[in-house]
This record gives sequence, C-alpha cells and structure tokens, in this order.
Amino acid sequence: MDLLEICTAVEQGKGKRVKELVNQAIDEGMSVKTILDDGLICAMGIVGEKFRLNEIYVPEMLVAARAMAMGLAILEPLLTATGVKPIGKVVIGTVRGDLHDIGKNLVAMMMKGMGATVYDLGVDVADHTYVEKAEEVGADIICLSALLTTTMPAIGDVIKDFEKSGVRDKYYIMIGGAPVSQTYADQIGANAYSANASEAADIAKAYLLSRSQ
Amino acid sequence: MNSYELVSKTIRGENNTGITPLYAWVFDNVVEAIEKDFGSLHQFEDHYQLDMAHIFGGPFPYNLNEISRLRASGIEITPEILLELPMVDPNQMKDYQSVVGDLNHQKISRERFCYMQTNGIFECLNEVFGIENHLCYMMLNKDALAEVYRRQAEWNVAFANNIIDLGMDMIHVSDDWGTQNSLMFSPASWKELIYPNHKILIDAVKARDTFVSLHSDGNINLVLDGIVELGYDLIHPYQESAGMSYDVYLNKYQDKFALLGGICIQTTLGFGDYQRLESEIRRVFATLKNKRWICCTTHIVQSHCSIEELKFAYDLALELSGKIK
Repeated sequence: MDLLEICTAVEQGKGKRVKELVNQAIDEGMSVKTILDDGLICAMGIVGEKFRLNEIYVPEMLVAARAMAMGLAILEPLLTATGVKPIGKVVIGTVRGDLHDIGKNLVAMMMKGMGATVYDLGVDVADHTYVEKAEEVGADIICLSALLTTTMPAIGDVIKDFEKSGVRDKYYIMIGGAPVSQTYADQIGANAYSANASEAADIAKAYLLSRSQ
Repeated sequence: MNSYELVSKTIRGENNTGITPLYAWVFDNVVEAIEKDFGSLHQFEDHYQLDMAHIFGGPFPYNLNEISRLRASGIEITPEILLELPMVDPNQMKDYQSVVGDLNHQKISRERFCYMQTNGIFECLNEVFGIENHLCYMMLNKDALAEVYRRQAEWNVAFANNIIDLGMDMIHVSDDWGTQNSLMFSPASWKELIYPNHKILIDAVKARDTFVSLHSDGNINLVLDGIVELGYDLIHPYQESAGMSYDVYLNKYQDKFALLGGICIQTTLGFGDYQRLESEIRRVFATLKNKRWICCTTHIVQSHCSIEELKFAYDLALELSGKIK
C-alpha cells in the first residue's frame, strides 16, 4: 500500500481509516518505523506547517492529531518490541494555578507526532513535579505552558526549582502560552520559546537531532 | 448629560462633549482590595465616575449538574447527545432577580449605561462539551453541531428579550473566538456555523431598538468585516496585544462600530511598571479620544494588580477623560 494514504487520512482527521490503514500496512509486512515515519510523522509535519501558515486552524489540527494518536497507539507496542527508540523524551504540563490545556495538548500531540515519548503531567502542575518526573523518566525536554499573566510567573518558579535541585543543565526547557514571549523566556533563562505547537515541535526536534550528532 | 446619554452618544458616534466615558472590569479578582480601600465596589465606581455597568445573571442554557452526571457515568457529551437534552427554560423570571437588583442601583439610582452578559454561540458550549471536543465537533459532527447552535441562538433571543424587558441598554454577547495570533477556527467555519446564529440574536435585539455588543478576546481580524455585516454596535476589547490594530480601526471601521477597551491587562496593567502604564494610557487616549471609544480594561483586572496601581491607572484615566478640570 502507499503510505501516502495514511498521511492523507491523518490530515483529514479520519481516525478509523488511519487505524485500518496502519493495520493493513503492518499486515503487508511494512516496517513499523517506516509506517511511523512516512505515514504518521510525515502527516503531522504537513499539518504543523499548514497550521503555522494559518492554512488550517485549531479544529483541523486537533482532529489530525487525534487521528495520528489512534495510529500511534497501534504502533507503540510494536516499536518497543522491535527496539525502535523514540527521538527523545518530553515532560510537559500547564503550570501551577493554570487550568488551560488546549495549547499544551496540541504541543504534546505534535511532539508525539514527531517521534518523542511524551509524559503529560496535565494542568495546575506543582513546581517540583516537573523535576521529579524529569529525573524519573530521564527526560530530554521540559515544556511549560501558561495562558494567564497571573500564572506565568510559575514558569520562572519551575526553572528556579530545576536550578535549586542542581539539575538545570540536564534539561532543555521550552515555554509557551498566550502571555509568554521570547523576551520573557530570555529573562527567566528558558532555553526556547515557541509561539505555537508546530514551532514547538520543530524546535524540539532540532534540539534532539543536534544532540544525537 | 448623564452616563447613559454619554455612552449612548459615544456608541453612535455623536459624542461631541470632549469627555471620554470610563469603565473598568474589576469584578472577582480585585474586589476585596477595592472594598478595603474604598469601602465598597459601588464607592469605587462612584469615585471614578464610571459610566457603565456590566451586569451578570439569569439562567444558563443547560443544567450543568445533569451534564456533569452524564459525563461522570462515562457518556461523552456530543452534539447528538446534547440535542436529546432539554434546555433550561429562559422565561422563568425568578432567575433574573439579581439583574433587577443591579439595574435598580446602576440604571435608576446612578443613571449608568447598563449592559448584560449574554451567551454567544461558541464559548458557552465549551462548558458543556469541553473546548477541545467542541473544536473537534466543528469538523466531525458539523450538522448536529449546527442544530445545537441554532437552538442556542433561539434560546439567546428569549433570554435577550427578557433582559430588554427589564430595561437593559445593551445586550453584550460574550463569544471568545480569537487566540493570541489568529482565529481559533477558520473564517469559513465562522461564516458557516457562527455567523448565522449570531445574526438571529442581533436581528432580534435590533428589532427592540437596543444596542448589541460583542466581547471576543484575541485576534479576530479575519472576521471583522463579518462582524460589521452582522451589525454589532460595539466590540470589546479589540485586543491590541493580540494584533488588533487601532490604525486599522480608525482607517476602516470607526464609522462601523465603537470600541470598549484600551487599558491592557495582559501586558500593561498589573506589572508594577508605572512609567510604562502611564505612557500606554496616554498613548491610547491620544489615539482614541473623541472617537467612538469608551476607555475600559481589556479584561478583568488580574489579582496581581495592586490597588495602588489600579488607582494610579484610573486617576490618570479620569484626568485624561476630561471629566475633571
């Protein structure tokens, strides 16, 4: 089968069709990594670029990401069994006091879509939970999200917590959310700021690939 | 000229007094600090000669306890499921008692221009569906969602008519469509699903010779022409910090709708930078004074804003408004 069909089904948000096609590709003996890279990850790259260019919007992005996740759910145990390693590990959450999660969820889905293992801590996450989880799973990247100006300071507090714990240099900390900016990222010592989910995935991928070279 | 007249004339573009109407969204977060300093929220409003009153209350379209119960039992509240649930009766006037009380004080006693928080189409259903599911339904359950929206629009009309009967001056439709950089959904989706259902409400309100305003945070540039076509009299906040340009407003839209906003709580008010705060307030006044503009905060003043900073901002706004000589 042509993996472009999977790509198209993901773009169109057709989750059931994605599952059918992924199973078909497996049955036809395609390598799981190839299905992941050329079917699912490829699709999310296209979707992410279209979102960045405002050719599609949040609903299209969400349904594509959910369709991708349905295909990924089939591949994940097979990837583990064949020893295929994820590109990296990401711990993500919305900071203390903030209950907003759409942006965070989109970033999490894009990160999965580009081949990372994602540990989603949810919303209103206590500061030290990020360090604890990062150390537990051996994370590479920490993603912090805040939607409100009132909760934005918690991002800085999390970074301070990493410093206080003596592990700041082990992790690449990325931040995002409506009130957040590159200036703020620079002020608090974050490694990167991204304006949207697509950009977040691009920055994360570039970082992870640069580390593996 | 009382506050009602000043605001009405400003909205219509007929305010030649040189005085800028004032308002502030100070509900919830800073009320305690205001009460400590001024004695009460009403005394704060009187001190700063605020010209408007934003009134909340009345029924919500759905029984949220029932929705929660269904969700807890494992049922996803899809548009199809929601259409099987009855809506709350909007015509039980006992549900509007708090509105009556507020109007007595703000409209009758203080002669302020009163506007009522009213459901739009998209935002109110986020509480029912969950926003992420809701956005997916726009793609995957469009027909059923369209029917949910149409039903919501009719409910909104009944609600608005009751509010107008009580004496409200403006129906304020709250419907957040924008993100920091763009619309949350495509302009095509907006035109197909949102526009016709806003039109149902706006036509009904206009038929009652009542003002109608839109609240939408974020960047809504892509649908401004559609908002004009709908006939909204006023937009809040027209969020400059999300890319809404006052230059564009003045060049293209100032004869189409009025603005309520100007003191940005996302970037300016509440950060302890008094020099910047003053500079920004002066800049906005220089840009919009004597236009169809009512000076107000862009959203609810956040809890990190000190009472001193709030007073500083509004002392300056009061001075620049022309209300005190």
